[in-house]
Amino acid sequence: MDKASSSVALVKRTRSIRARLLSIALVWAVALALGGGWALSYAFRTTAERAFDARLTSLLFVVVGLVELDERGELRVERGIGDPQFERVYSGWYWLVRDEEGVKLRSRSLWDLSFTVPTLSVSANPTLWSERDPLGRPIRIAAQSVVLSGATRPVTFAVTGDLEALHEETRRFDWVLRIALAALGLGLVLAVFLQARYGLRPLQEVAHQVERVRKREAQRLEESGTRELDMLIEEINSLIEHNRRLVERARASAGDLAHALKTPLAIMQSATTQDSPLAREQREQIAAMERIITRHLARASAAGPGNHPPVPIASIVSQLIRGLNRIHAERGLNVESRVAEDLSYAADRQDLEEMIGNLIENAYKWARHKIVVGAHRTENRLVLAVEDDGPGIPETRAELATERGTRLDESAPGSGLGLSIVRDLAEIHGGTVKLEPSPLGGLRAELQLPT
Amino acid sequence: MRVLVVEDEVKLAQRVCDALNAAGFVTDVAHDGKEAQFLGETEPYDAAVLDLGLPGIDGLSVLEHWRAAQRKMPVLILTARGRWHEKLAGFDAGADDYLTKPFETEEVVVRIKALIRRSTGHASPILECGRLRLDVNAARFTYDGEPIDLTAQEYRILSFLMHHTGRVVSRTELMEHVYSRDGDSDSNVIDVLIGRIRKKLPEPMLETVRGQGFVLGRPREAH
Repeated sequence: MDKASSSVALVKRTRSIRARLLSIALVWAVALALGGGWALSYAFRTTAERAFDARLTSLLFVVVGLVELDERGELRVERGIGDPQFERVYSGWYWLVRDEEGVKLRSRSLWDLSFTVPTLSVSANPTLWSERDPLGRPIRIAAQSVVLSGATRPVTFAVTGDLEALHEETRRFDWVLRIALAALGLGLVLAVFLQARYGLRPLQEVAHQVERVRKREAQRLEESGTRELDMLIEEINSLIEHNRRLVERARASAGDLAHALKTPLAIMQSATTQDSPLAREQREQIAAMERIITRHLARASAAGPGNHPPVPIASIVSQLIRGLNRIHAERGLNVESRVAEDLSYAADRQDLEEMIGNLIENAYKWARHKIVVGAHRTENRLVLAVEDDGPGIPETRAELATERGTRLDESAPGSGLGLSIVRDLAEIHGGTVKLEPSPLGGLRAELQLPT
Repeated sequence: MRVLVVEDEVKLAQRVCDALNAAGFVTDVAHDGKEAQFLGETEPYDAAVLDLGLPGIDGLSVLEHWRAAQRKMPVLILTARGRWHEKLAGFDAGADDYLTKPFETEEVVVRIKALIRRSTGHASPILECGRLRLDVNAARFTYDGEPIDLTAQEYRILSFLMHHTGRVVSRTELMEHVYSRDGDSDSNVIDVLIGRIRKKLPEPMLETVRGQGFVLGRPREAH
């Protein structure tokens, strides 16, 4: 699997954990609101109804206590019940007293209407039920049959209360309850969202760190300080370490293989000195093998981009010039470095030496009198140019010179691979090599590396 | 001219020696760093071919030891990896040239000739002493354009003297530079060979300085 897609997968996973937590919270909040809401509403309603019934019952007792028989045996009310609702006409709050013959007494609020009360057997407890009054208003009735003192027949007392008021009260409670529960649920979801966001932040930090490792900005993950994650981080770190060792071993064995092949090749080459077609063919093939090995060795040895301290360019250039001057001492070349002392570039020093060394060596190979090495930094690149006054490369072949393993001049000493190795390494570092005619008359090879 | 060849691969070392011998050089071989260090510090070589990847002491350390012991012969290093890092370290340790493996053995000969020429202060591959000429690359002496026919041993002696014209070269020095370590070391042979060379030269330009040695061409005045 590609490294990039694995990091995307990790990000996806953090998202899904958050979604999972949120959906759990949402389900829980809805269940809580529905279940809790119903239970609370039910509890309130029953409590309110019971309180209403208790009030009606006590009102009934008041009415019973107010009614008595006069000396003629007629039912009579001592005084008003005292509650103004029973005075307001059609208020829903009524009382009436009846015997077998019919309604004997009624509250003012009933005016001339009445409601049907079935004949009840005499009992110590009132009977309660809901009904509608003559105007169609829902009412609750409390009724009881009592045998008054001095009477022989039972008298039925009934008191009603306006259920609309009770309903209004429960409706209002339900409404408040709904708002409260919605706020609670929302708060819960929000809390889980924040929890997921802040709680999972260390995980995002891990993903970020893994990305940094992939970009070679870091060597390993740092401990998060979160107990649950440190186990994961430790595992990832040992995986990274394992990977690194594998890559190093692969690179080392590629290098060792190429290296080990060189000596046998050198022996073969030294053995084929005679001038037969077979020997010529052998020499050509040995040279081809050598080119392959040289290129792959250069690639395998490259450290590539990564987290490196800045390397002063001028010191590399002057070291190279010193060494190459030693070899080419008697040619009396005028080699000039115009690299500023404070110019530096953050990369693996050996990789830089390899790229700059091959460029300058190529110039030494071809220059007649003069070589100029210049370097500067643009906004986001390091530009290093080596110019010589040699024969140069025809424009049509300039592209070819840096192509995969091409040798421009088979008669030139050395592997002749310098420029294509530079191109390979520059590519590894995300840079380019450009060949063009130099004002000096020869070749201008320009290396550009991203900063 | 005597060259030390340091290479742990026996076959390759032999091929390099063969090529150098064919070009008129006398060669000694060392197959490991320890031996190389000892030989380089004790024997007077005119040049050395030094492989960097050696068992025991590595080539760079060997070179550093030589330079620390004031051995100034030119050194051609052989690198297998061919990284600039390695070459630069070689130059810093005192190398004069490098070759990356694999190489043509002829290339070693060409480089060694050039190094010796430079180290003895000759800019051109044609060395002259009066009318006597030595073409280093062709390994051929001429006098007034006429080739002089020399045996291998005679060529070595005259070639060494030609590289150091005007200087008195002692018998020991001559022996050390024209014979390998395990070669015939009878000093009388030198006198016999000098006598033969003298006969082949049309002009009495090879003089014997009594008790000191031999000199080719007129002794230069000390400045």
